[in-house]
Amino acid sequence: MKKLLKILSDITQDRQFFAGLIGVAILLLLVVFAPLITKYPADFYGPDSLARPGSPGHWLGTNHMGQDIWSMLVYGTRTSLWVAVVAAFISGSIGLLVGGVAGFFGGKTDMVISEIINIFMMIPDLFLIMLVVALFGNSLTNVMVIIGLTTWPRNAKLMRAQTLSLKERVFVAGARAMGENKNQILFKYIIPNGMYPVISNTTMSMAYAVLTEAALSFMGLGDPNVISWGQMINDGRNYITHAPWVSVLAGLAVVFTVLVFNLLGDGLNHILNPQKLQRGER
Amino acid sequence: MSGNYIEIKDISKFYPVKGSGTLLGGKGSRKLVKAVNGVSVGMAQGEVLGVIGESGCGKSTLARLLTRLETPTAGDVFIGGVSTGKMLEQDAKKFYRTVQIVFQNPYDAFTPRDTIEQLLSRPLKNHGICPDRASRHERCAELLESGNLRPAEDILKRYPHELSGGQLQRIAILRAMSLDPAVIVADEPVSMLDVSVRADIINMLLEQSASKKVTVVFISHDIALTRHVADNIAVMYLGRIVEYGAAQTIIESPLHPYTQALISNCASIDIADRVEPIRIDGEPPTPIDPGPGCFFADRCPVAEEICFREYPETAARAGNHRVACHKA
Amino acid sequence: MARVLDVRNLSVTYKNKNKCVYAVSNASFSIDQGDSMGIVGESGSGKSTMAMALLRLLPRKKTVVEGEAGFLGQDLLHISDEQLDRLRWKNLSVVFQKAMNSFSPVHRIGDQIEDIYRIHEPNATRKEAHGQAAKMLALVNLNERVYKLYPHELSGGMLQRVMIAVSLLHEPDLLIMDEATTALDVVTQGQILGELRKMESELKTSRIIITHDISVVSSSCNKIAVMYAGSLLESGHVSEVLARPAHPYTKGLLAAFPPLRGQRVVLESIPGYLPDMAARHEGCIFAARCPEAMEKCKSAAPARTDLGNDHFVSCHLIEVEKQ
Repeated sequence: MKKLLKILSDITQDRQFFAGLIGVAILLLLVVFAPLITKYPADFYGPDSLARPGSPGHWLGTNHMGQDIWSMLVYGTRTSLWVAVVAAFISGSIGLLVGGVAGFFGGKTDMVISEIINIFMMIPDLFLIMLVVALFGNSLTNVMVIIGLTTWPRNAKLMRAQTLSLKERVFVAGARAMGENKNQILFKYIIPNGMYPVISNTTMSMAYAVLTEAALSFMGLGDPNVISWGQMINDGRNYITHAPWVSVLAGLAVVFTVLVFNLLGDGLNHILNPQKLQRGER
Repeated sequence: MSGNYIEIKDISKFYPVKGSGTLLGGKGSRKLVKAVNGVSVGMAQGEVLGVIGESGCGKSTLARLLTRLETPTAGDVFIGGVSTGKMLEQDAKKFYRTVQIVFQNPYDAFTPRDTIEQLLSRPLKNHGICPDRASRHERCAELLESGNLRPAEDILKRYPHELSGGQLQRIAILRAMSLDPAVIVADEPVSMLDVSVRADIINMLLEQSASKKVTVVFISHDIALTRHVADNIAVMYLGRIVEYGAAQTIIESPLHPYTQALISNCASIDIADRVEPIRIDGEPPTPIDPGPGCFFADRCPVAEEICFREYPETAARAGNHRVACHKA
Repeated sequence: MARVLDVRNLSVTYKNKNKCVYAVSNASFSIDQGDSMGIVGESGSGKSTMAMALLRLLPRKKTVVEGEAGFLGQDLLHISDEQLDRLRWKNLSVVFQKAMNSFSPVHRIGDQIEDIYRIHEPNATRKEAHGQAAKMLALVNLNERVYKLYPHELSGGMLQRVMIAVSLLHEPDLLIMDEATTALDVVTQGQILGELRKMESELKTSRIIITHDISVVSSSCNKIAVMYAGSLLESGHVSEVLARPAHPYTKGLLAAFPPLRGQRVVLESIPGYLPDMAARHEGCIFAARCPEAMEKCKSAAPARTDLGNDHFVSCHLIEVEKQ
């Protein structure tokens, strides 16, 4: 209980994290209560095409197919958040494991894995993603997985660095002297103590995932069966001069979400700072 | 030296110097840091052996070799006649139950994520010492009580950063003792603690080990403290033991010029004890391929020609006093 | 005997948003010319804070320093920054524990020393600066060739010696060494302490050595001051205080150091913990851990009693005895 209260007090003290948290709460509310807060389902093609924001029944206007912009934004939130979470989860788990193994076992294992990480980092991400989507189709699952598979190297590098320094800590030597085997040490001591930078980087990579998905959809490579903000921006391109609200509002949604994740990630970096975690220790 | 319960035989640890040696690994040009270079010493059961020496002498590496946190390049340690090398191969867990260590830094000795109970019960679980959770909890509480850490139930729930250095080091000692070891290696166990707390920790270590007849290898740079604690003292220099004997003898009548210089430079709290410190020039070098003769020759105030040519044999003196010096 | 430093009722409080930490409370002591005083204390005693306060190195916004520190006719704590700068290094210098790390890694030792010399003697010729540097290096038993080396080519012990030489460049009236030999090997420490003792006859520098190790004070100082949790409990000549300690804390501390030779004694700890430094204490700060504490000790802070021969102690037990 004391721990929870302490965490809460830490959270409220860091402004960035708090702001990020509020932002996430807003997004989650949009996701969960989507049917309740929108009058029209997103794929409802109404009679009013390109209605201005403030028109009766459509407070943010409609696009050229009569779809309600507000509904599209709200349902688009689901897509973006889903992509962000799944991609970041894939990227985080692979990165944590690979980085931990490389740093912990060292020697040849480390050499091989480090080279693999370097190779992955050399490949231009967006081109790889486009290639995969072109080859394997543009379903949302493919998009999420490929984003996850191109962002794990950064997490692996972070985890590897953490592992290398944690290996030298006295409590790791103590665990070995107690007879714990290497697996136990990796999973009980190294990963739980070293994962914090990965966690905050994962939040940042959520922002990257949202942006990438929007970019793909903008290029027409996204999943056409789901509502996506990138798609909205693309659609709105053709009439941006006389009906800018379609692209602009969708663009603002992207900006807001990316901002929220960045605030969260930055704030997490402050809170999960190991010095703060072990307050009271010399 | 047969008949000793614990026998350290010719143990060595060499590290290659990075950047030396040819690409294809020609042995001729490879330089080695001989951190521990053929150390042999025996201990009786329940004895406290003090190991002193300055930086670079290899005492910390010796601690790591004894506990197999590093694998020796050569040599072995025998406990009750059984080779620890073999023990490790056949039943690693048995080895780790037999030889335990207490580290210098109590503040980093435990993972910050575990409670004290988790820290203490994990080795018990690992080595199958208690059958179930309840008995492990009992045992942990017992351990804390035996070390005067009360109220035990409260402390079990705490995290390491909530406790003081003295408490943490006590817990470290208790954890080591919980596995019923034959040997405990104490590597500078009190140097990071406040002076007024040290005595308690030292007394606890000695009591606990005496009650179970555990042999203690006490490594320290604090010579006055080592004299107080140890039955016998081994003086190390550049990876080798240069002198060995009863604690009192080493301090009061050292024979090796290095030991003499070391003791004379010790500040004593007794104001009446004013000894003129013996000067030795230069700094303790790194043990990279030490020369053919005595390792201390180039800094020794009484070195002669033979000292630079041949490494001195270890000669026995009165009682168990041994010294490796041409001039002693 | 000229009085070099006269500290009266020095208090240092760290203030931040939430609380105040009373790091040093009402410390008073004095240093005469030629004295070497050892200030002894454990962690939290305030000894380093006190030194930093005298040198005015504490962050101005967060700390409140009260009291007086008379140094050569000026009050260190209240003179202007310019006046302080003129005193710093010329009359008053300091060596810290890891001072060896304060050298620039890309400049030769000799160049750095000359640089430092020129701050107070901007018109000195190369020859003068070099001469003075060489003189000080010889004093700490370092070879002249050190002049041309880079910091990474010297060992920790040699660098610390260079630092001591640098601190003596202008032959200051007072040298403060804050745990300056703690990180060094026994032999190196022994030699440096021996060199410091010899130096006393050659230079007129008075010394303050701050350490947790009483044996260092016993072998190289003539005066001692014992600090605990911010209060200076006892002070006097080393020969007097170590042979006949008056304060229970001093007695407890001495019982915790094993003598090098002679009979093996039973080592004793001082039970209990440091008090909360953020709270104001009514009585004696050591009362909670004192084996001889009386009722009075918990409610009233003891006054500084003069036992004669420069021996001062703050303890109710002594007051009672004197009566």
